[in-house]
Amino acid sequence: MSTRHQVLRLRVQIRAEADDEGDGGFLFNKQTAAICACNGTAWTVVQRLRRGGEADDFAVALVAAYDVTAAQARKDVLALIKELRSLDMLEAR
Amino acid sequence: MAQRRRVAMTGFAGLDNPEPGLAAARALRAHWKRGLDIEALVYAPWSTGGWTPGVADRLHLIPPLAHGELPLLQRLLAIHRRHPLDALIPCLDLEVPVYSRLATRLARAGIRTLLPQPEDIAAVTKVNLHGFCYANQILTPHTVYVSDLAAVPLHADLLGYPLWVKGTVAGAKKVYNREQAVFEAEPLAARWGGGVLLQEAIEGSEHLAAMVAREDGSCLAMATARKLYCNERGKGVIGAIVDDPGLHKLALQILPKLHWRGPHELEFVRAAKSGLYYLLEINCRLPSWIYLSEFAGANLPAALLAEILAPGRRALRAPRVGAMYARDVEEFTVPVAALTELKRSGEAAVPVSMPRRTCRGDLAVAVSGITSLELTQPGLGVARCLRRAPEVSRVIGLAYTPNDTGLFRSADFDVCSRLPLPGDDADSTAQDEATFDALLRVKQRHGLDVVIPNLDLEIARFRRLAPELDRVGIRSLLPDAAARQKLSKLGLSHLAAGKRLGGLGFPETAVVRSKRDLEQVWKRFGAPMVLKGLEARATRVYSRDQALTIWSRFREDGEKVMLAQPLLYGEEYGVSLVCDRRGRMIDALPLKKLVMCERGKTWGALATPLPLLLDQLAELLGRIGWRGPADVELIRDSLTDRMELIEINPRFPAWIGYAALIEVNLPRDLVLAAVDRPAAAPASWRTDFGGLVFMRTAEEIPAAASRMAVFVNRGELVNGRR
Repeated sequence: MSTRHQVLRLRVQIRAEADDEGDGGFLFNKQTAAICACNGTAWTVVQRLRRGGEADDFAVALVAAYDVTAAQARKDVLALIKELRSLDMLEAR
Repeated sequence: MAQRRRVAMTGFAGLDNPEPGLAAARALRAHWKRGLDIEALVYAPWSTGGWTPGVADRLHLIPPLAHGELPLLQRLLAIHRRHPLDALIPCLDLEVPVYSRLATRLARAGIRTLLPQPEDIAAVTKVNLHGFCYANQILTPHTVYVSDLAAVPLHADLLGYPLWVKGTVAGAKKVYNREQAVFEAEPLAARWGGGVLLQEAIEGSEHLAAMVAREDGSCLAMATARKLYCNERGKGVIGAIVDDPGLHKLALQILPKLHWRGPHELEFVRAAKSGLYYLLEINCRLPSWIYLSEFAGANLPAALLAEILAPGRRALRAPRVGAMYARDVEEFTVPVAALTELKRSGEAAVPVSMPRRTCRGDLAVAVSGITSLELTQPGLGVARCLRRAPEVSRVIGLAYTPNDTGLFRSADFDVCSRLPLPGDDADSTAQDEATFDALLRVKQRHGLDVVIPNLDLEIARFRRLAPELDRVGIRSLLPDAAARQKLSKLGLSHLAAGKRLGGLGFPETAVVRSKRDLEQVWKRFGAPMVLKGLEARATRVYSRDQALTIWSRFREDGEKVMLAQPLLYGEEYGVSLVCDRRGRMIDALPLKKLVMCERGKTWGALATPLPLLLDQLAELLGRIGWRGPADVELIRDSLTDRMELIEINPRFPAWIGYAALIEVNLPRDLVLAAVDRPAAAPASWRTDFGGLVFMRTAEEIPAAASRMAVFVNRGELVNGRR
């Protein structure tokens, strides 16, 4: 099954903290201390990853929030998912 | 009112590889601001951690362990008579079995300890750990103890590369081939004795568990952490508290097998491939990162002392997950008289520190080189000097990575801004543009009048940018390319050959461009010899094989041309100075280096008037037309008593923070010269520096993922004070 159709969610041990003054934030893995700084675009996706969803849904959210094409949004989402997976921050159903 | 307590502790030396006593004492002091006296037991007056202001109350010299247990016991009892001790916490691996054997006699005198039995310590030493793990079915990397160094190549080849070469007590180097294994084994065996250990290098992340066991062996307190950043020597210099149930469970499973009492640390590597934890080491004392437990609200040293004083306490709560530390440095001065007193009487009080004065003028100054994760960079000291300059209103740190320790020094920097990471030469135009844009952005957002680059690799870039920066109102003061070339390592050797160093000595030097050159200089200079890269590095070699290994390593790292010099023996000196735009030396701070870390950097020094040397330097620099700061390194040859020039760097030295502590504020002089204001320096060279010794210690400071993330996302971090 490809990433596109999996329901993805942040693992329970991941703490997500917004930047009070900016539009981004960061993720912290409480088990491994891995840190991922997120810019505004990534944070938009992270907000949805907390609730869980599919990559395409995240891309749609990006298109709605930013001046970006659907193809670019999908590419960005997949890149972020790859990064978060490498940090063991995501679980898939 | 709570009873006043007094604890003796050890482990205040170690410099850039700090012994754990200072961190443990800091944690105790954080917990007991009043009502606790800390007596620092040190083997040498230069244990800089013991002198750290606001931590220990007194230092006491104790005899070396090699002198035997009786002299140590007698000394402890003598200290106890003058300053009655309630407890003693040894913080060095080699000491713990000794104090364990003395525990009963100490207890009879009223000095309490909480230590494991000597046989339980012996069971888990580095040499015995492999057997302990095998007997108790604990995963550990394949490890071979090699008592005869001649067998290192054989066993290293059998284990495969990379592997760790470890000393029997401490010290570890990762090596990638047989030659490196032999090269690293020799000094480790010489330092710690008894051969070396060769250990399979398992790729993965390093995790730690610090624990305190009660008298009955049960767990009183535990903090688990992960090393987030290891320096070149494999030491964790950034770390964070984690909550990994697997690690927690494993540590608790191991504890009863140790039959332990008191503090200890388990070091693990979590294999990247399997996710399994392998036990690397067991240390029988608190770790040097233990101050993190105070940041995390679960102070293990405080729990340990409380348990020693009143056994049977409830388990400490879990530390706050995500609490983080970064290892930075603290610099201060100690009167010569205090050091003399310690040497004379064996005891000295730690001087009370004076509060730092901060001034608020009209200039905004940016400084780079603001981290101490590998070597202490000069920007940290420059910033502290600028904080004391009455003309400076804002100090802006220029950082390259979110790990730079300056990011967590909000008292020293009003703002930290990101500079683009240095690339290769091909990128110089793009790099220059990115640097200019970054500085312009700083100016627009926060104001910026002067920039002081503090890293060797930046100087050429900032020199190229200087005219353009000047046009937008950002001033700098740097030597031009010709002056820099003339006083480079190679340039100095040419000047010396032409007898144009103005009376300054210079060691015999040969240029090494090939292996053949190296063979020839080896025959000419013999051992020991120093091999130097043209840019940064210098390594002492004591054998032809070592010379070849270092030559190969330098070449692999891009140093195609090297310099070779016979090793000079003698006292080392340094001079930091500033020249104005006309090449006139405005002011200088000469010092004698008194304490050097393993990597040859100054951690203790004393300002020393050297007017003749300063005259000679002023003449040379004036003739060359040097502008801006310089860091001059010299050795007084013990044979000829002649001052030999070693090198001149176009920046401030890393010990520059000393300058402001003794009112010789060279960074202030530089700022004033850069903006064409009158100098604050005296008309003639100073001859009295107040008899204050410079000292530096490691200091774990609170770090935060949130600050790192803000720096990454926004490219700057603004601190509260504006």
